[in-house]
Amino acid sequence: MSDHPKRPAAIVGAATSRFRTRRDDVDLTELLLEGAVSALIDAGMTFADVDAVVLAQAPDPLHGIGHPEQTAAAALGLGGKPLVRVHTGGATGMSAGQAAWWLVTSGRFETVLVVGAERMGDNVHGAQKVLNEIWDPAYEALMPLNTIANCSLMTVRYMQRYGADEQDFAEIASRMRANGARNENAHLRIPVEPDEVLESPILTWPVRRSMSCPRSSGAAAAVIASADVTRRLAGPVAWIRGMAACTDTYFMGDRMRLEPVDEYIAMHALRRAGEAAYAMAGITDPCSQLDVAEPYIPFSSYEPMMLEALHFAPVGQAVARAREGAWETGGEVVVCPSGGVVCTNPISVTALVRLIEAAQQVRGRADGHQVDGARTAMATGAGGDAQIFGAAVLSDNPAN
Amino acid sequence: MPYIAGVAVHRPQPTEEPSLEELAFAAASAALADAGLDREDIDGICLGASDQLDARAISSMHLAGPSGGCLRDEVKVADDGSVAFAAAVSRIEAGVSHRVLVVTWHQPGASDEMAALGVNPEPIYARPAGLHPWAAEAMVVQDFMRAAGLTVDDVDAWVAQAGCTGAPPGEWLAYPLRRSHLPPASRAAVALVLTAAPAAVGVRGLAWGADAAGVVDRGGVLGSLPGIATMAYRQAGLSSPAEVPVETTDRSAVRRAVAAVGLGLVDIAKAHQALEGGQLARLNSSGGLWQSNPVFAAGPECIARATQHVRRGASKAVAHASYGFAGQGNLVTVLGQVKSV
Repeated sequence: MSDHPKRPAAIVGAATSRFRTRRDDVDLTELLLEGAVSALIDAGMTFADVDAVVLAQAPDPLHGIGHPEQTAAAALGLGGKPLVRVHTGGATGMSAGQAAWWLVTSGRFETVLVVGAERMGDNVHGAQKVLNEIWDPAYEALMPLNTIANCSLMTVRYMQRYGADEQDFAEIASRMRANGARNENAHLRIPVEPDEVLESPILTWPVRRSMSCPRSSGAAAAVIASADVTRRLAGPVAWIRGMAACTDTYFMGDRMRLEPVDEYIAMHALRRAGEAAYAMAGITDPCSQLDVAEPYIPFSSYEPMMLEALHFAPVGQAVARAREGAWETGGEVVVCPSGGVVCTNPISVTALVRLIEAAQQVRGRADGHQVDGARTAMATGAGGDAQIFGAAVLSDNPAN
Repeated sequence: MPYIAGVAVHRPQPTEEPSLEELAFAAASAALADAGLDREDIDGICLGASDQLDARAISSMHLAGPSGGCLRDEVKVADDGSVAFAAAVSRIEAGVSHRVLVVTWHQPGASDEMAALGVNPEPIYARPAGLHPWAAEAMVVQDFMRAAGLTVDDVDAWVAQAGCTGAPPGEWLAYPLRRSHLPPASRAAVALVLTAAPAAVGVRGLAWGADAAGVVDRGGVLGSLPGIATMAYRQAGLSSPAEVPVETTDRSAVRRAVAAVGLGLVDIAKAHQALEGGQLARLNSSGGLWQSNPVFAAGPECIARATQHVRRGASKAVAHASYGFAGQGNLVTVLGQVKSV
């Protein structure tokens, strides 16, 4: 799929808001500024250092402004500088990071700011009302499919095929919430025990509320720069060693392919995106070569499907590995030390937050949830009906 | 910089009722055929689409596949179709992709454009004041007309003289913009195949940028267009843009004059005279948006037209896309012949 870029690039600054349900104190542009300024300060830069901006904004009905890039241009002080607005649903933040990486590695620009903001807590109809409208209006929207029902269909299939049960998904959710409690920027910071997860309301069986991501508002931003720029900066950097995306066909029932299993729950597009990013980064054995993973897991029952697609475990065995503690601190790879999407989900920037969390681990700036000795990390984005995926591998070394 | 190996503009017959998916599929297939490639050869997809205009919450979910994005590295750019072209150029320049398909479309029946654009202004101050994007466009047009010494009668005369077939004359959209000053929207999908390997047409210059949505915050009636054009020309070694074919998105009758000045084809004091005297025959010789106006895909259609100019013998051609809130965004690309292919 994708090849090595002609020159390296790194994340040299990054920041996220402290996420919560609503941000009544600011409007969308102020939220964008909150993220952008914080990331630039982290990089030791100002807006004058930025050559171009990539804006990560996902479905417009969630934040209430059509084509928000039009309004954002003034707030970000572009004054004729290049702007690219990317929108791939939940994968938007990763796609935006990828577009910014292209702009820098192309040699066209030295420093690119990628920024986005979400205020989906404002949506009076609820996010699932909006997200129901992403489905085919003639057949599927009426069912009614939404992202929760989408996950439930896949989860039931996984349970039937590989024997996982609700207790497993409750354990995963509990682990993520415990991680989120250590992340001061996470939206949900109160730990929950597996029994509490199983007592939470069923949204669409077997998915329960405490297995599911919240609706979060806040901003995220990262500064991506060339190697020449990194030499002038004092702070740590996270080199982007590989970045790729893959989009599958829309109808879930069409996603039946032979490898590795003839099942849509194999998440073929995620597997391909991950493999392409690994190939660029020289990752041949993810569990031994990666220290941290920040995959985009919006419901705890997606974890086994996604980790298997990313080659963290053989097909059908990720739950067993989870029971052994493989994804916890001290295990094979620490998965979602930030608490992940189950604790924080500002859709426009959720995938950008994954990229930033991976970068901050590699830069040693993950504060209370820093994984000791983290040098190589990966992150993913997921959008559409588990259809659009992006993956990135970051390292503290441009070629280790 | 990359090359343009294939272009296609698919316009369905008036009697046909294709879905957006069928539109995109037809354009992508035709561009690939024009390039002598098939879908397996493509390693990147850049879609240019507006959810509002498509009347879908994430339109690329349904349209990535028909556009060639099934199990491909795909991204959707939402500023304008022309910015998807810029993204495609950058990923080839980066070396991560080698053959990228750009696909963009417009289906007027998918949504009510006036209503769809009405949610774009900032909601606290601008929207309650009635600042619709076309009202903002009228403010820009009025500023330019004042600076260029143009009157509404002049613009009416251009529209009548050119035989433009928009709305009936008379009705104001927002003074000094009449509905008849706007080219009607049309159905089409546009696809471009960009390659790292040489083809007959090369991308020789590319620059783009966005000004503030607020008309008074743009530092002049032309905003950053002159600087963007100069940058693209410099990359391409183009010193006399008035001597090559230029295709621009004349989203209103006055926008052709704005582009003529902003792109450095004529001084603002002489714009009126030059346009009436036929001295700008190379500007939109294709007929511009009055010939075809697939709104979100109009910029890429200009690039497709510029490609055809070069294929027919022009040494260079310029394509300009104006987009966003009252033309706040501008993209200028210079295409040139590749002799060795």
